[in-house]
Amino acid sequence: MENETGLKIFFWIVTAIMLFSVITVLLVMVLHNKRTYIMKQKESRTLMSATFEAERMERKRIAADLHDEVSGDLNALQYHVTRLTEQNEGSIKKEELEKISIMLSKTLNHVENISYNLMPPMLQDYGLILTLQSYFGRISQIYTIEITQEYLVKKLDLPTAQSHELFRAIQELTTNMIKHGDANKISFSISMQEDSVFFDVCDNGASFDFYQSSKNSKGMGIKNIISRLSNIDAKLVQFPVDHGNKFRITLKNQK
Amino acid sequence: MPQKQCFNKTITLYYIFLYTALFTGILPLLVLFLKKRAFIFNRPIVPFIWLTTIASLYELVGSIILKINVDYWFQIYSLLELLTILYFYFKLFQPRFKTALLLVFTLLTVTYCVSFYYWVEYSSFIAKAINKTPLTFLVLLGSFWWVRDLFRNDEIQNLWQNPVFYFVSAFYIYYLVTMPLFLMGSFIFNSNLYFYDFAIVNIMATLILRILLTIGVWKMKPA
Repeated sequence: MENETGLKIFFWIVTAIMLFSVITVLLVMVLHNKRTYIMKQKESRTLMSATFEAERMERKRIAADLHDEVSGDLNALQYHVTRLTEQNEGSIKKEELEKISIMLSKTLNHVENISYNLMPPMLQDYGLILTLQSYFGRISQIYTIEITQEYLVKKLDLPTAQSHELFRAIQELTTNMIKHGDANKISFSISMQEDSVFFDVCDNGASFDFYQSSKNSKGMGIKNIISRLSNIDAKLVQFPVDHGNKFRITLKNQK
Repeated sequence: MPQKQCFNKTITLYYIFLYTALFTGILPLLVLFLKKRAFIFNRPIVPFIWLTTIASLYELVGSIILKINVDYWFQIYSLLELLTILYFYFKLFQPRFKTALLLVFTLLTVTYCVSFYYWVEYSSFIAKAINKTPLTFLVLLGSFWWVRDLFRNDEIQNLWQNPVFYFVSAFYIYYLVTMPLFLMGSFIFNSNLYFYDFAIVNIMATLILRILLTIGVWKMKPA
């Protein structure tokens, strides 16, 4: 009888030790993996931040080169062509010169647009709000679209890098709404509550599930929005609406 | 009277867990069929999943319903079990540890042959203990290699999404926790102790093994 009790106790002690050792090993594995995962996430964020910063600087440089050099040269060229057209001397036909002048004018516009898209010149000097106003002004001229804007914040003191990422995310969202959603009305607003800034974008185009698209999307647009916002610790939320789409980007004030 | 009631409750509870464990044995293969991967045998775990299902069905139909003696089946199962687990680790670490796994295979084959010497109908506990011990050693070795790789390489970003984590954990939990039971099974069975009190450890470990296998199979990516 004593032996049996001893056997019973021995069995349960050994089983408990085994169970305890198993749980310990599994816990160590999970904790180690979690720590590594967090470290890798931090590394990847730092890398992403550096990449975006390098991209921003490169965009700035290319935009400046395009604006200062290519645009300058094209302007000079157009000036000469215009003068030749006015003089209308020799064998050069006036119509030909006018064609060249029109082509130059278009090229100049293209270069200016590319330069603007690469890095809006106002972003650094005048801030995000004025840049967005200018951007919406430009796209409402290019596309037949009605854009309503509401700014419940007079001034936003954001670092240029942060403004740049927000601008790019909003630009990508609105471009998607126009190009893929066939929207003809977009409303945009900026508001502030306590330490958070909200950027709301709504449209009347085709509805789409942002998160589902981010998983399936082959294009870089949606993934770019997510990466850019994650880089500045901003969050994007899609609200369910009957027609169109409604997005809110929330940026916590990091002061 | 209260002692009898308590006894009945234990038996009921035992059978509830037993049937649950048997039914969960079918789940991993069902998930494999659902994901159209049931016949992709180059996946390390697939043979073991088939074995688990066959074992569940056999134990359910042959043992519980038809009351056939399971001792023969247990001896065959031990062989299939060691082969499928060895295949799992062999494919998992391929092309590494070939020599070590070959040595383990030799050891397992020898012990399996030795187990026949101790096998007695209606009392196969010693044979089972002989078969389970080197198998537990293999599982310990395989788990050690896998955990070492995990710590060294840091390639797995999220363990919870990794099917191999579930498979390795399932084997590790089952074989280590049930080891005392299989080693002491013969003593307990031949004593006046009530065997079901101890067998519950095997049922619970089996349940955990099969649940983890199901999750792991669920997490497997398409071929």
